[in-house]
Amino acid sequence: MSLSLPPGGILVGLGCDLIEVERIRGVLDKHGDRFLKRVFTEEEQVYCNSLKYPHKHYAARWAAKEAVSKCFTTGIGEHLHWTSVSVYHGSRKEPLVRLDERAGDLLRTVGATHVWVSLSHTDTHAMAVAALLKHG
Amino acid sequence: MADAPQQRSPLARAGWLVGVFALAWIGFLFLPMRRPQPPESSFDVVVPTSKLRAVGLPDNPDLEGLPDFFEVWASRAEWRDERTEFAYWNPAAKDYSYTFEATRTPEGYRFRPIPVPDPAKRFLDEVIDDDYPIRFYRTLPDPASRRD
Repeated sequence: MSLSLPPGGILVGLGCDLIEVERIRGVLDKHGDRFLKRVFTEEEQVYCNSLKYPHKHYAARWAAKEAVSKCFTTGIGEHLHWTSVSVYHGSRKEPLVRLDERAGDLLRTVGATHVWVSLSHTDTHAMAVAALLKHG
Repeated sequence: MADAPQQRSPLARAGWLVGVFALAWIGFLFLPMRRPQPPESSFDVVVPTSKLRAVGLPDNPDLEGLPDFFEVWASRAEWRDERTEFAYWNPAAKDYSYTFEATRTPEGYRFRPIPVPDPAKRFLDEVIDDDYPIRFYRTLPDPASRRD
């Protein structure tokens, strides 16, 4: 088995978030499309909608965006929009983060080179941990 | 004996004529010209309303995520006459110094900036937990303060 993990680095920022999946389901039921378009990227919507319980996966991605915003200490606002952070999956189904240009600028500003996330959820809660690292 | 009228020489008369023509030409040059006017617009200019202004918020980039956070956390609020008050995290000040009133309408939530409420006004979540982007104020009478 060949595994390749990132070669260490300096931890620049750390953030986590926990959310009740029911909250996200409630908003999806009430404001579905408008909310989805404002908060989640196209690739996130395609992925979540392909699964049996989309709201749980949306909740995990909501938590990921919040966790990343906490890493940067900016919150969601001028420097980081909801859709600036997009979670997708690598070849081993590990969650990876794609940043838009705005968030990329922010990453360089804080002196980091990579963002790593880890997601998890149960039937009732979803959580995410995010870290900003400087490699090389 | 009256003097005979003086006769102008033909040269002087020609000079007068040239002068009159020159003045007429200059006057013509300075006549206001009618410039072609652009056709009147047949449609109204629509100034786009920002996403924030559309829901009553000022155009402050810090508030970009507020409507979505609010939708997710609105069920924690205490509503009185379809209104509630809350404080929103200000990342620059690192405190909850943005304060708003939200109104619940059939079309969705509308917001209005309000002055920071009296410090005696209590948050619903008494246990300080600055993990939440939004903290709701108590809008119903505090059950503990009621007298029977």
